[in-house]
Amino acid sequence: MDTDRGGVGIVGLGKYLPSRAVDNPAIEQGAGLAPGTIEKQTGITRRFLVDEGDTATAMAVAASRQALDAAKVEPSGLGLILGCTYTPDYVFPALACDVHRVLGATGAGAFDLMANCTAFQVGAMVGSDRMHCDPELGNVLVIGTAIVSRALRWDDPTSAIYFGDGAGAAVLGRVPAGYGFLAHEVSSQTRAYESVRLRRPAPGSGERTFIEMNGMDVWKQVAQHQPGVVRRAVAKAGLTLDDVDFYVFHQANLHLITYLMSRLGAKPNRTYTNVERIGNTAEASLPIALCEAVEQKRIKHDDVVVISGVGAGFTFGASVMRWYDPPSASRS
Amino acid sequence: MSGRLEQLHHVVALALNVDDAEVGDDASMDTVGAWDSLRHLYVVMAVEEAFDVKFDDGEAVAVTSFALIRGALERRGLTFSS
Repeated sequence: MDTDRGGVGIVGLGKYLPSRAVDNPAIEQGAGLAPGTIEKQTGITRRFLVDEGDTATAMAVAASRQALDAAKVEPSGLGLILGCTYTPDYVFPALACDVHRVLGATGAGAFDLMANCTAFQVGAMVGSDRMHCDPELGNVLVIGTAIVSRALRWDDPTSAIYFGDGAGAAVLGRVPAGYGFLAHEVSSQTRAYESVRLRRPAPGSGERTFIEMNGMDVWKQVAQHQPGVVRRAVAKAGLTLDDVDFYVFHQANLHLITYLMSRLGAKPNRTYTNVERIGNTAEASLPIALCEAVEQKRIKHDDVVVISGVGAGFTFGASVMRWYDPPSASRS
Repeated sequence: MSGRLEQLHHVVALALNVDDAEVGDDASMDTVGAWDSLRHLYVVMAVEEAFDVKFDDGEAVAVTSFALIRGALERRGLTFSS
């Protein structure tokens, strides 16, 4: 990395959760499951779901405004907006363009990218790479937004038990050399391409399609490939796993996160989980968890932080950062 | 040594939250109802900790029976005799 040009890091985070909390009994009843099944299988006890009038853009804007406030950046300071979602309000134009319009970020480019539940990490990679390549580019806003509930069959226990809705956002900004993103890694294993999918209806069929999941394939993919992508990202940063202070994973399943921490030889107190309280919020999961971990001061200035996700396809990603927290930096 | 074999039965049974008697030499994900994909993660973690070994990521996914776990441990020099 060319450290002479300074770093690029996360300088503000925001999140939004819908107000309607739904506990497990309602989901278990709809999916024909015995009481207690969901918590036993996933660790999830509650999720928050949108109501009829809620939109992906409105959630994205709410999370973005909080992130911009935290970063002390005006919408006019944005050079790029990246929308990460597979559940936008429109097939096109991009959700990022709608956020651009609502925020009045007239100086920014805007587009969406698709990497399912690891899209936020991929968006952070694209955004930080763009800032490294273009020293004139303003701040980058990366948004993960998910209204998964509208793509679920509530009588399908293989998918209905996991998901919640929400949005998370991060503002990327320039930080001193040696801080911010140190390395990124993305890799794909596509043998299980069909294992998690949301198909388009066949033309003229009138069919409505829903998320389909093969949980066994998801487990195999994550257990087999996600630890490796983290190890490669950490090595690419010139560090070892012992150097990592804190991990934030895509919040798919509490048991999987416990397993990942074990594979990486890390004590459980070096990660943050909220899947128990909000479920799997897809692209929003990583930024919401990161936002809450920072709010709760689980991450501090100078910490080496790894964010890692896995998305259908399957695409695995990990980013390594040295955390920059301006208030403590100015005190030290 | 039978002690180590008994220990392995016990460690797997404990991770699966079933009686030791349910984890015979032929036990696998196909024969033990509690041995589902997520519980398997706990089996791997428990065996690694109890026998101070580390499976590689692919092997950890593949050792889905008592015999396969035993074989993986034997390849690491641990001996079992009934």
